[in-house]
Amino acid sequence: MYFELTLAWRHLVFGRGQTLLTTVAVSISVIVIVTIQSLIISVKQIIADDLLGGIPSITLRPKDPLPQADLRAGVVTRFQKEGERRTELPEGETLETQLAAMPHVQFVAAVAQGAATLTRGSQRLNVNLLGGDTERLDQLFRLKRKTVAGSWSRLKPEELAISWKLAEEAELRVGAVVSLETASGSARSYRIGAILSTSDQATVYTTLRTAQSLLGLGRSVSRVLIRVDDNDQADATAQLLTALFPYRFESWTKANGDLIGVFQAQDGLRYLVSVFALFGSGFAVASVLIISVTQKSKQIGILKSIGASDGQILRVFTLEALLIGGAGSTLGAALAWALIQLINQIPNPPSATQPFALSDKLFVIFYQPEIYASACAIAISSTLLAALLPARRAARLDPVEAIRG
Amino acid sequence: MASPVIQAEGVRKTYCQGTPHAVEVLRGVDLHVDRGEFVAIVGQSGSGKSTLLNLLGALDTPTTGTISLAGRELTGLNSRELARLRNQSIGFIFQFHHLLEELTCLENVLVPLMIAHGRPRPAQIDHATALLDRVGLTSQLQKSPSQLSGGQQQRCSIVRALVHSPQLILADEPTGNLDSRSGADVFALMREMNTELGVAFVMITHDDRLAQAADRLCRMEDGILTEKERTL
Repeated sequence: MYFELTLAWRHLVFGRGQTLLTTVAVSISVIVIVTIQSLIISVKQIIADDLLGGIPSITLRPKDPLPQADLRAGVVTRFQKEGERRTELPEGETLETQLAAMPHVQFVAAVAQGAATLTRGSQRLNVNLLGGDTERLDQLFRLKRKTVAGSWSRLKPEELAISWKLAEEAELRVGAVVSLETASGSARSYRIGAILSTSDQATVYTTLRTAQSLLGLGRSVSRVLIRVDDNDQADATAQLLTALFPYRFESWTKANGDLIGVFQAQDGLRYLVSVFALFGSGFAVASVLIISVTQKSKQIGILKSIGASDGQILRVFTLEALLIGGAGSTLGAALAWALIQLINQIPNPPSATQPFALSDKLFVIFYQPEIYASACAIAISSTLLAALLPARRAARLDPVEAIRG
Repeated sequence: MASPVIQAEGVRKTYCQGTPHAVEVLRGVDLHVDRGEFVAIVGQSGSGKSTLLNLLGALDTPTTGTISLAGRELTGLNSRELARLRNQSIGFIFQFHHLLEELTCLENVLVPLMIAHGRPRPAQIDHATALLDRVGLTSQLQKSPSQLSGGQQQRCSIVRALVHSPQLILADEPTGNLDSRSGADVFALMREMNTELGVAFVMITHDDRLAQAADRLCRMEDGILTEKERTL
């Protein structure tokens, strides 16, 4: 391999202008792939965090026990089903422990959840009351991070946490007193303990005991919320849990089909951009190597007359492509990283519609080494693929014809 | 009795055989060259000299007839075996030096050894350096071919053809691109190497003076090779 590597290297150094252009073509494709992939994946993650951050990956609900008599009759009316539907889960705490041990399950919180009416003076607003252990709810929804006024971690049983939009609509501040009334008829006064930057206006958070008391659940919970380590794994995990536990497990995708469509479109876009970028660099490398083989055909003939085998000639040009691919990928990865650092500096001033942006930067592109590694691997592979044809052509050159020119 | 270095028997070469454009370039060539012999082949352009040289150098295959190198018949060898044979047993010198512009003078000389063995060993580098010294290129070792004169380039290519101690060197008009003085120098060098190292030479030339200085003189005419008596 010494001969092949030496000659490939010397070819590249000797034709440094051509080498530089090809390397830049490969590096541009890596920059495009890494930047677009990182941007889209980060945006997807931010959207997921923002929108899905307010909902669990999987929700466990009690299973509907169908009435035996009605089954025999073969007809079950909606009202009969509603009547039989279980709303309570007395085994909530046990379930928390069991579910936490399942694959992909990251966080679990047993919660008491139900409809309520928030009253402030003459203003009455329908809200979704959600009570749970504050630590567990924070793990699920990152509520500490989303607190813009008051304190989530010190939320007391007589306090509520509401979204900034609700606070704005009802003109509420931390310390303000409101009344909450549930369908069971319970009504009590609570103080606003925290205001959150969540986009979900309707949800009002409180402690588990408070919600259990208001919703008349006693020590039971109404559902168990689960966060998985990868939102794409939610469906599969829900299916697994359904097979293992006698409850209904609903993945977030069931109620958010539109969002899935957006994510799929984003994925499609990033694959498309990557493919175009690779085609671009592939063609650049192929065309440069084809020209190189044509220019060096006499040299190839001489080398063959001296005893170089077809395999050695093939390896010389393949190594050239590999070196170009390696150098271009490394350069591209470094420049992409620098570009992403620059993009990450673009400021994001608060706006009227989003006064509590989670970041003061417009883009938050995460460093994802696997994107860099895969972009480099794909770029090198496509470079090698592009080199295959000219390298084979070089290897098969008839030395007599080549020397004759 | 030792077998000849190269032996061609009844060699015919037809291009585009089986088509209306078929051209028979060699029409039954017989040639044998013994170790240490210097054979010159003269003939008009298009008479088949270069075709014969390509066949002797295992770069092409005859349509019919056999060619043996050191007793080993070339017919039936695959491309890898032919490449190895060229690398180990044959050296080529062309009209144009055909040195690799990307490599230095010394590296060009080492190419046959690198093809065969990879990284050259110190002893091989010493051998190449000694040969370059022998042809007066000691001060040019690290220069690129473009920095050498035409005569120096051809001397470098002669050393490249010799460095792996081949049994046969095939030279296709090695002085054709040089002025008369450089041409005479290069020929003298080849002759010295032929005598000193005992390597057989087959040289195509248009220069009658050089041809007359060979051990044997052959003339190619319309694809037929005949041995001529030297006039000098």
